[in-house]
Amino acid sequence: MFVVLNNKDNIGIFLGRKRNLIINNKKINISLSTKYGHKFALKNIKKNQAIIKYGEKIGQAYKHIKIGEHVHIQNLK
Amino acid sequence: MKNNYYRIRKKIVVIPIVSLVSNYAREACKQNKGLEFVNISPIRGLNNHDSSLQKKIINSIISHPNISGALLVTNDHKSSQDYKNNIKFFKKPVETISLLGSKGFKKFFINSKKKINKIKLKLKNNNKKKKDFSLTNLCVALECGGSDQTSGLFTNPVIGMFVDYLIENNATVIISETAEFIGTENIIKKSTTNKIIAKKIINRIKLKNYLMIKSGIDYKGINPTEENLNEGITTLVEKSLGAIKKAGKCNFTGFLEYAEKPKKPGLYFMDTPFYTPISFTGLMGAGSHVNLFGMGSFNPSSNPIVPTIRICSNPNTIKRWGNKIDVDLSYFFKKGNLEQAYEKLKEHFIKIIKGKLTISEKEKSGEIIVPTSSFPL
Repeated sequence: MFVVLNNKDNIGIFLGRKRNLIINNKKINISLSTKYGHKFALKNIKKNQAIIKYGEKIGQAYKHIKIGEHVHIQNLK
Repeated sequence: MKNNYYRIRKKIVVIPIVSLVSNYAREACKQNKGLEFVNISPIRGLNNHDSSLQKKIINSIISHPNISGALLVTNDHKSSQDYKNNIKFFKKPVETISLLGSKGFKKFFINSKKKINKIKLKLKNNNKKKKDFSLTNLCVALECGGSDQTSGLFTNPVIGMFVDYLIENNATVIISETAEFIGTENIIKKSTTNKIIAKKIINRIKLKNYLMIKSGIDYKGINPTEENLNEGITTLVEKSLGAIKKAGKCNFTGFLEYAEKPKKPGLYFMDTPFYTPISFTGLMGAGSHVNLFGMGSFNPSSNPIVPTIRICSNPNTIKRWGNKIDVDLSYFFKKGNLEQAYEKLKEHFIKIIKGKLTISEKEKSGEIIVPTSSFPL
């Protein structure tokens, strides 16, 4: 299960179990490090690009983030 | 303000006015039935601003709508007299006693008992008609603790729906913790009709952001806290965007300084520090009757005077701490049913207002912490 809060968002929230998902006709493998309630990338995100949640900028990627990858302190500030 | 006369609790309290007497005041409290001991550990030697805030908080407790009578315990006779001269302003049975003025412990406890009985008798003979329950007379405070994804996703939006209902029914609602609004400036600007109020709130948020940066402290781990980070909240802005969902339509009527009382119904923003017990203390100072406390991971904080309703949607938190949560919304969270969650919250809220005790009230837990700005002399 997962949820995307706003259609401008480039992250989703993982809500457990199934990690192989199809979102907007795209296959996404949510990385194993993404725990319940944590964020994952809905698309490839370039370094310095904004991370959007609730349709608003919550921070910036300081590394490239691959689709499905866990988005947290190791790549977002 | 009107709501001062509407009580959802009728507590009789013993309050030490200076912490020197705390132990004996507690003992006097224990020796009598049906009393609660409220200690804010007041100290001497504070600078002017801190000293007047301490006094303001003590007075806000005595005048609080959930308190029906109070015994104030001082050390010296003069401070007892000073309070005595002001008692009439509280418009409720308040008595004072000084430890040193009692000339010995035996007399102190005997006199305490006499004064407490006097308060009880006055309350018993009070024939003032009880006000009917009405949301118009009610002041509700909002807090969040241990924010996680379920907070911004579900718990806070449910509280927001309820806040909209309260505002439509002319209640007073106060939201606080300025630091947790950093990043929501645009939302406030858009949603607040009164542009002067919006600007005042936004300026205070900007000031808080500036002070946090200027301090040079890396607030990661402090705010967002370790609990927030573990639950997947990465940045303070992300936390703020979730927190502001509590404010519903987010159309602010007014701005309040720490512990300031609102003058008419509406949605208020209060400038408070982000540490929950200090924020609760400021909200109590404003005369809020009840706290709506949304949490993701468990947060044990509460206030001893203001019933604190703990609300949670996170199934993992419920599994571990369910017996400490007042309103469990995890079932509706799993179903994604906001409407039913809202109904459950509303139903529980009415029960608490009508006298059902919250978990923290049953445990007699809660803390009052008055912030200070400088080292006492």
